[in-house]
Amino acid sequence: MRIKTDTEKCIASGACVLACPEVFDQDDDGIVTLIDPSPPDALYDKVMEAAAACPASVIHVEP
Amino acid sequence: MTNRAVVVGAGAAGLAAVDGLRSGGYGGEFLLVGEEIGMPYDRPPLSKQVLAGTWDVARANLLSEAEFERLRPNFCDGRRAVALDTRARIVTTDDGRTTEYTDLVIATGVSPISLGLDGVDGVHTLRTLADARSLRAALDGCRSLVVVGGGFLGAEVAATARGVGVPVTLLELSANPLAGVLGAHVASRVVDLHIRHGVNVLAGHAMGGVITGDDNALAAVELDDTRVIDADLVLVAVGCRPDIGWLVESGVPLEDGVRCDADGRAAPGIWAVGDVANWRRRDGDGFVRREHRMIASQQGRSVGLAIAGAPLPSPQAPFFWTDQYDARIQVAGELGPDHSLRAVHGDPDDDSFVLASFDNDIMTGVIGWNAAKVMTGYRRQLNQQLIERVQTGEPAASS
Repeated sequence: MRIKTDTEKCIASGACVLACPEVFDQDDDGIVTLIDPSPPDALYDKVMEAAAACPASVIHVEP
Repeated sequence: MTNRAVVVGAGAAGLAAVDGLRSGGYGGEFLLVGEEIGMPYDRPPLSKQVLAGTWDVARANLLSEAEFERLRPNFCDGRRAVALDTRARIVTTDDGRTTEYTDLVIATGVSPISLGLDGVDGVHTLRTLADARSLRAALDGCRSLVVVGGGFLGAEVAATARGVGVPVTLLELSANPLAGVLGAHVASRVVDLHIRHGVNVLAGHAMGGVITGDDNALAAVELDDTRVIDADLVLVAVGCRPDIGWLVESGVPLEDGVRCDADGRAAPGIWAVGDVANWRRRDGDGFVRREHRMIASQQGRSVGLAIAGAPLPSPQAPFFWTDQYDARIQVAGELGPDHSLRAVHGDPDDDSFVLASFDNDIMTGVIGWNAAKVMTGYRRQLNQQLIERVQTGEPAASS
């Protein structure tokens, strides 16, 4: 899986970090950063949960 | 018939319900019914980037083109639900079509209160993309905007309008705008920010009426005292009402929206999510309806998963935000009275800080000012507390 983030739309809610801290982090302003843009498939459910939790539709997951 | 989930309302909450159905592996078919035509979009940018014109409207889309194509076969757009027969389990839409369901998700949202001024040329409300486009056009060359209502929407529009150089008066009934939701300190910081950016903030005043000139066009706003403010544009942002008119005869429990249990169930096979939904509190007494973007995602997804028979996500402390000028303000959990607030990060008179609300030394909520990263840690803690409370059945400290 490959993750893309549209950081310009990020509103720094941190929802992704709460859902999947293995993959998502925040910079000092709270904007999403990726610890791992191609995480192992074992994290798929958590990544999808993070994408769903984002209130600004910033996270897109490609197979 | 095979199981069919019908989701009425194609905003963030309705789409999250669809997402929950899919993620949960729902075995039946589903249908999403939306009143507006075309791509579902997100509302928070409407008062900010879309209104400012810094984003193309397509940036506010809730789906990518590929995701929208995937949704298409299950999406009936341009149709408004007009009636519900709970016994026959049938929804009727404004084109006369009837649709049977086994589960119905009500996600019809809210509509702005217009104060009876919707016929006046120059008076706007802001809820839909069409509203945002029309207000955006009206800001061009606007001589004087009066924003009636100093809640989040009104304050955000005032900030956006100042950003494009429009003179703004912000009229708010309460003497302390936003203090009820942000606490006195942060609220006064926000008001100061508006004043510094040149907004004429008139707190403690209501609109008495509007004065129109030729062709019913707006000329001025009368206050509740003798003052008259020149205005060629008014935004009425005094709140919204749940869109439940189509449910009045249905027998679905209605009280400040659709009244639901703590899982979003209003009646057998009937659920409600998002702005229209008034859920029983999971961790205390009473019900709560919140018009917040994050709630839309959480409730929508949770109900979608529930209908699919999948495990439900952990409960989360409420969270909302507002962005005005260069201030990003976030609130999580429940803020208690002002005396319960104390600084836990930074200096409350500085440009980055967090205040936390305590009840008997237990943190009940936090409010952050340009402190998004720090806030995430507090939210994790609040979520953890909530999960423990729900497991042990203890009521919240604050309620």
